[in-house]
Amino acid sequence: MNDFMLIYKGGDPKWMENTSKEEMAASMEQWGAWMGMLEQKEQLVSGGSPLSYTGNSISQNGVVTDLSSAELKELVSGYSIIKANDIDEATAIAKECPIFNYPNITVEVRPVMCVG
Amino acid sequence: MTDIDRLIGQLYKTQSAKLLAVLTRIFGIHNIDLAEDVLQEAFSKALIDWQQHHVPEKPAAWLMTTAKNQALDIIRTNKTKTKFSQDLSQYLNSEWTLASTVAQEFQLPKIKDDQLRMIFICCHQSIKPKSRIVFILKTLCGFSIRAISRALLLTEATVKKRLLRTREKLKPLSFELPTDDKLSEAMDTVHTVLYLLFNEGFYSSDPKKAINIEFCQEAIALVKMLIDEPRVANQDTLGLFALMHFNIARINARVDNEGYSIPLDLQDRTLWQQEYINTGTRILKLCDEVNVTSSRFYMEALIAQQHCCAATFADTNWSLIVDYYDDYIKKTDSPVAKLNQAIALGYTGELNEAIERVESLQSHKALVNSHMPLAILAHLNAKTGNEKLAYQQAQHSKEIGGTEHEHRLMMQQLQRLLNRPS
Repeated sequence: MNDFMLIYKGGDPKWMENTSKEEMAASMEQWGAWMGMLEQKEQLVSGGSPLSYTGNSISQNGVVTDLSSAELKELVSGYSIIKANDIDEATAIAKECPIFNYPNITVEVRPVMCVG
Repeated sequence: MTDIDRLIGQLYKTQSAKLLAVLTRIFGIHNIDLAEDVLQEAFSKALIDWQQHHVPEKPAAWLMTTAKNQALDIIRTNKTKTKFSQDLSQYLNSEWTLASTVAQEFQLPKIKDDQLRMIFICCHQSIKPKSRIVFILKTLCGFSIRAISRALLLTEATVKKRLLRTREKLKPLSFELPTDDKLSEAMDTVHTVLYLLFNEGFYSSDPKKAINIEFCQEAIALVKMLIDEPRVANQDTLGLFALMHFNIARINARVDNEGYSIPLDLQDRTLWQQEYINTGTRILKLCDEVNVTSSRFYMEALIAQQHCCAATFADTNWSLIVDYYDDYIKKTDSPVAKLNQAIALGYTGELNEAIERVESLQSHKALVNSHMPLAILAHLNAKTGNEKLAYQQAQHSKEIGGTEHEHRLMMQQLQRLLNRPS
C-alpha cells in the first residue's frame, strides 16, 4: 500500500455562487459517501479540502505574483490523500471521485514518495 | 421578566436537551464541556440578538442554526488541537464534507438517536445516584440550574458541583447505543433510573407543587422516547410506561391538604384521572405484542391497573392481584412484594394464611429490622377482630419505626377495622 495524492485542477471559480444550496448539499453528500467508502476499506488518509482560486506564487528569488493571472486549468483547486496498492488502483479510485461533478476538472494521481 | 426572557426559558426547556445531545455527538463525549459551552453561547446569542432586533419567526430553528454554525466555527478553529468524535473525524477534518456532516447531524432523526445515546449514558452505573438525578434533570429534561436547585432543595453551587463531577465521569465512556448483547441489561438500568426520577416527583415532600408533577411528566416523556425506538424498547419499557400512567392518575388523591399521604381505601377515587388510566390500559394491551424480556414493571403495572379499575376499594379484584404477585415474586423474589401479596391475600378473606405468611417473613434478613411486618400483622389481626393482639403489634411496630404520621394512620385504620370487622 502506498499513499497517493489526488490533485484536482481547474473547475469553476464561480461554482459556489452559481450553485444552489440543495445542489451544494447533494455534492457534499457524494463526497461523504466516497470518503466513507474509502474509510471503510482503510484507504482514506485525508479527505483533503477544496482550495480557493486566489493566492500567491513565490519564485526562487522571492518574487511574489498574484495567482489570479495564472491559467485556470493549471490551478490546483483541491486535493485528497488516499491509500492504494498501486497507481492503477489509485487511478480507479480517482475516477470515482465526486470532483468530476464539477466542470472542467482534471485530476493528477501522484504517489507520495517514501524518502530514505 | 420580559416576553423574550420567558420565551428563552421555554426554549431552553424544550430545546436544550436536543442541542446538547447533538453537540456531544459531534464533539465527542470527552468534549461534553465544549458542547455545554456552545449550548449556553447559543442561548445568550439568542437573548442579545432578539432583544436588539426581533424574535425570529421560528425561534427554535434559529437556535438550532446558531448552534450548528458555532459548532462549525469551533471545529474549524480547534481541529489542530482538539480531537472530535472519533467516527466523524475524517468528515469533520475535510472541507469537502465538514458542513454537510454537521448539517446531517442536526437533522431530526439523528438528534433523536443522539438523545437516546444520552439517556443510556446518563444511566451509566459509574454515576452516583444523587448526582445522576441532577444530571438527568439538566441534560435530558432541560431544567435550569436554578430550577433544579429549587426542586431538590440544593444550593446552586451543589448542583453545579454535581453536574461537573458527572461530566468528568462520563468523559472516558463511549457515546454509543449498547450492543445487542448488553441491551437488555442496559435497559433494565434505564428503566430503574427513570422510575426513580418519576418517584422523586411522586413521593416528594410537597407533591402538590407543580414542579414535582413535572418530574413525573418528564420521566413519562423519556420513557415515551424509548418506546418510540423499537430497537431498544421491550415489554418492560411498555410496562413501566403503563405503571407511570396508573400512578400519576392517582397523584391528586394521594395526599391531604397538609401533604400527608392518604391510604388507598380512603382516597377520593373521583380525583383519579381517568384519561391516564385509559392510556395505561391501552399500553398494557400493547405489551402482549412485544417480546418478553424481563417484565418486572409490566407485572407491577398489571397490579396497579387492578387498583385503578376498581370503582371502590371493596370492588378490588384481590384474588387476581394475588395471582399477579405470584408472577412478580417469581421474577424478583422481593420480600416487600411478598408482604404486599399477603395483604392482598388477607383481603380475599384468607386471613389466617395471610397472617402465617407475614409471620414467616418477619425473620427475612431484609425485614428483620423493619416495622412493616408488625404493622401489617396488626392490620390483619384487626381484620380478624383480635383487638388485643392488633394493638400489641401496633405498639411494637411503632417502637421499631415509621413516622409519626404513619403511626397515626395505622391507629386510625385499626380503629376503623375493629369497628366494622369483616
